[in-house]
Amino acid sequence: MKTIVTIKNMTFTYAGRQIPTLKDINYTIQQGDFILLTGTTGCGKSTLLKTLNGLIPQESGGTMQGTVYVDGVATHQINIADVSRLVGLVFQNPEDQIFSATVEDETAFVLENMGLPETEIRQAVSEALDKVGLADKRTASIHALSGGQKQRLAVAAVLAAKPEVLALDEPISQLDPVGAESLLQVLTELNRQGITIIVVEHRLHEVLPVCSRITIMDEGVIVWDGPAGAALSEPDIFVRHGLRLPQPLEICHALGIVTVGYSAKEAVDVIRQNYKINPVNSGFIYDSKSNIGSSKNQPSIQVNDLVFGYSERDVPVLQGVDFTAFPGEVIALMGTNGAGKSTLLQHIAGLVKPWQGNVLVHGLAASIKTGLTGMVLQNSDLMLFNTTVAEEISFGCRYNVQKVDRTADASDSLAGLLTDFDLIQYIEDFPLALSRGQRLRVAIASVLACCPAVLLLDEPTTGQDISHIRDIEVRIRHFAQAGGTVIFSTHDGELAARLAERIVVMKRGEIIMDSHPAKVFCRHDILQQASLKVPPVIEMAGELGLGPLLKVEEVVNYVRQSNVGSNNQKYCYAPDR
Amino acid sequence: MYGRAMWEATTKNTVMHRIDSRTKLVLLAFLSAGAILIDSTITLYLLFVATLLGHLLAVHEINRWRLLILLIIFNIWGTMLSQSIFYNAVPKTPLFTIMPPDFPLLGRITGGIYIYLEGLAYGARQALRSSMMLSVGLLVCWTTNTRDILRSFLYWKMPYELAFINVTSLRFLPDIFYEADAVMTAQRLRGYDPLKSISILRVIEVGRQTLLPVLARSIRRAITLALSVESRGFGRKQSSIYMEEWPLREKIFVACSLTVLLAVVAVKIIDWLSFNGLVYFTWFRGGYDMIRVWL
Repeated sequence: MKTIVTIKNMTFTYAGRQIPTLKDINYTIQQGDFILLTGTTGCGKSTLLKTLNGLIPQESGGTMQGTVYVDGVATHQINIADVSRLVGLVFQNPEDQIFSATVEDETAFVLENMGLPETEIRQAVSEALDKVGLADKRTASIHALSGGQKQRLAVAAVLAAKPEVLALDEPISQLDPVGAESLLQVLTELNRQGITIIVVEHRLHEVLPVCSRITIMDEGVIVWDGPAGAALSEPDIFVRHGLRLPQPLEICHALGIVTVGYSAKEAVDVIRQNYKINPVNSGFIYDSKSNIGSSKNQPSIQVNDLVFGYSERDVPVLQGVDFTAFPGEVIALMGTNGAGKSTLLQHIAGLVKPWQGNVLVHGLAASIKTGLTGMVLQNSDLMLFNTTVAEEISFGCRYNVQKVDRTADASDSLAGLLTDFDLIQYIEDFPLALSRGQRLRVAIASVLACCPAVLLLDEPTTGQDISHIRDIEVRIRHFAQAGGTVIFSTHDGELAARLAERIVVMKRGEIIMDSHPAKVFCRHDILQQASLKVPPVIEMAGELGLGPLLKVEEVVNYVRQSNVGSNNQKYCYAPDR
Repeated sequence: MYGRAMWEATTKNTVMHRIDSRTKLVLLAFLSAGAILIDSTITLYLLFVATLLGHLLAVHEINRWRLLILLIIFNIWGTMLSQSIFYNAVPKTPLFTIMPPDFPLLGRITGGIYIYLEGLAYGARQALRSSMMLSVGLLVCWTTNTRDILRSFLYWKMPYELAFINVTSLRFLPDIFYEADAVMTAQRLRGYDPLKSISILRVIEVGRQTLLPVLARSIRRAITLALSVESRGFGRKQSSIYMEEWPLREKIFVACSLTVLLAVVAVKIIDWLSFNGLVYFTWFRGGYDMIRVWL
C-alpha cells in the first residue's frame, strides 16, 4: 500500500517556548488508513495534525527540525494552497471555521481559491455535499444547520478539493450522540472510497469501533501505534495514558479476558465463554415503582407549567414543563441540541423570566438575587475574568454578603476549595492560562465559593478527557452528599448512567420522561425520540441477564461474584429510595 | 437569548444582497467621506434617509428593524443631549436650565448647566452623521458575505494581514456581543451586578473583567479561522483572488458617485478659500449660495 505521509525525525517548538511540543516524531501514514490519534489534553495531537498540511511550520512561527513529506513532497517546500489538495484539515468547532453565509458558498471556497472554472466548481460542490449528506441543504443559510450538520459542512468544505488525506481535530467533541454517529458514518464511507482519515479525538469509545489504526501520544511523543484490533489485547496502554476505554473493553479488561471487538455483543460472547453467569431472577430486577422524591419532604426546585420562547413568532422553547428536584439529588438533563435543556437551566438560575408558569427554588421565585443557585456555563472559560485563581474563586464571596461569611471562615473556605479542587499550587496563576481541565475546576470552585444550594452545570464534560470527567464526578457527588441539588445537562449517556439518580429526557421543549437511569435506558422508544444511545454497560448487563446495572464495576463485580459462588444479591442494583 | 444570528449577513435575493460587495464597500467609503465633508443638515438627513431606503430594499426581518431603530434612537438622543449641554461655541442660546448657577457647589463650579439651542442643532448634525454611518455599516454587514468582503479587500491589493484583521473583526462582532453578555451573566450568577452603578471606576473594572475572557476567546477563534482559511488555500501566498466580474452598470454607478464626491471636495475647497478671504470667484456666486444650503 502506498505511503501517503512520512514524518522523519520531526521536532517542533512553538515560538516563545523552551520545551518542544513534538519530540523526534517518526511516523508514516498509509493510503486508506483510518487513524485515531489520541492522548491526554496538551500531548501534541493537534500540533501533529497541523504539520500534515504545512500550517506548521509555514504559518505557526516556532522552529521545526526534520521533515514532513506528503505524497513525496516536503510540506515546507510548497505553499499551503497546494498541500490543501492533498491534505484537508477540519477543526474542532465548526462555528470558528465557517466563513461564508451559505452551504454552497462555504463548500466552493477552497475550489474558488484554486482558481477552478465555475462548471467544475459546481460539479465538485455537488459531489462533496452528496458525500456528507447535505445535498438537500445546498442553498441553505449556515444558521439553518444543526451542530452536526455544521460539522459535516466543515468536512465538505475541505472534501471538495478531493484531498487524499482528511485530518480532523476533535470533530465530534461538540456533537450529540446522533450527530457524532452520523459524522462517523460519513467518515467511514469516505474511507471506504479510498480517502485516508486521521481523527484526533477524546471520545475514543465512539471512534475506536470505526478506525483501523490507533496512535497514542503522550508529552509530544508517539508512545503506541498499531492496528485497532491490537488495542483489544492491550487495553492497559489506554489505562496507563489516561484514555477512555469503550465500556465493553473496560469490562473485559477488568475480568482479565480479551474481547474480539468493541461491541457489547462481542464482549458478552467472550464473557459467556469464560465465565458462568447466573442470570438474576425477575423479582430481583430493579424496582419499577415511581421513586422521584418519594423519601424527601421539601423540594429544592419546583418548575410548574413553564412556557417560554425567545420569539413570539417561533414555537416556544419550553412548552409546559413540570419538574421537581430534592436536596441531595443528582439529575441529568438529556436530549438533542435545541431540546430546551439550557433554557430550563437558565430558568432555574433565574436568568430568564417565564412566559407562563413559575420556577421556585427552595420556595422562593427563581432569581439571581437569592444567591441560592450556582451555574457553570457551557463555555466555562467565559466565567474566568479575574487575573489569579485566588481572586477568581473568592470573587463571589465579595458579592454574596448575605450568604457568605466574609471573615476568617471565608478564608478557610477558600483554602478548603483550593485544596479540594487540587488548585492550591495554581493560586497565583492566570486562570485562562491553565489547562482545559484546570480551567473547568476553577469555574466550578468559583461557583461553589458562593455556597449555592443548587448547582447547575451546562454540558460540563464537553471536550474534557476522562480524567477530568472523573474529577468532576467526584466534586458533584461531594456537593450532593452535603445536601445540595445538582442538575447537569449532558449528551454523555455513560456519565449520566454513572452519576445521576434521575434522568430527565427532553424533546422539543417538553419532558418526555423523568425517571431513574435504569428505567430511562430501557425505554428504546424514548431513547429514539431523544436521539440517545444506550450505554454499552446497560446493554451488556441486559444481554447477560443481570438486570439494569449502570456501572462497569457493578457488572464486573457481579460476574466475578457469580463465579466464586458467594451471595450475588449484594452486587445487584437496588436503589435506596 | 443572545440573538447571535441577528448580527450576521442574511442570504436573501434582494437588490441589496445582489449588489457586488465591491460596490457596497466603495459606497460605504464615499458616504464616510461625505459624512465628514457635508455640513448641511438637510443633505445629511437626505443621505441618512437614503441609507434607510437601502434597508427597506434589503427586506429585513422585524428584529433587525427593531435593532436598527433602537441603535439610531439611542445614538441621536445621546449625541444631541451631550452636544446641547457641552456646546462650547458662540453664540449659544439657553433653552432650558438644568442646574442654575446658584445651585450649591456644582452650580458654582460649572457656572450653571443649560440646554443650548445651537448645541441641539449641532448635535443633530453630528447625530445624522453618525446615524448615517451606523445605518450604512449595518446595511453592508447584513447584506454582504464576510468572505466577499475579504476578497474585495484583497482584490484592491490591501495587505493580507490588514484585510484579514478587518474582516475577522466583522465576522466576530456577533460572537463578541454574545460572549460579553455571557460573561456578564456569569458575573450576575456570582452575585455581582455589572450594570448596577455607572461610576467611572466601576465601568473600568467591569470593562476589564468582561473583555479579558472575551479577548482571550476572540484571539483563539481568530487563529482557528485564519488556519482554516489558509488550509483551504486562501492566504498571502495565493496566486489569484477569485472574484466574479464586477458588473459594468455598477462600475458606472461607482464612477458617477466618485465624480460627485470629487465635485463636492472641489466646491468645498472653493468655499473654504472664499470663507477665509483668500479667493472669491464672482462667477461662482450661485454656487456659494448652493453650498450654504446643501453642503
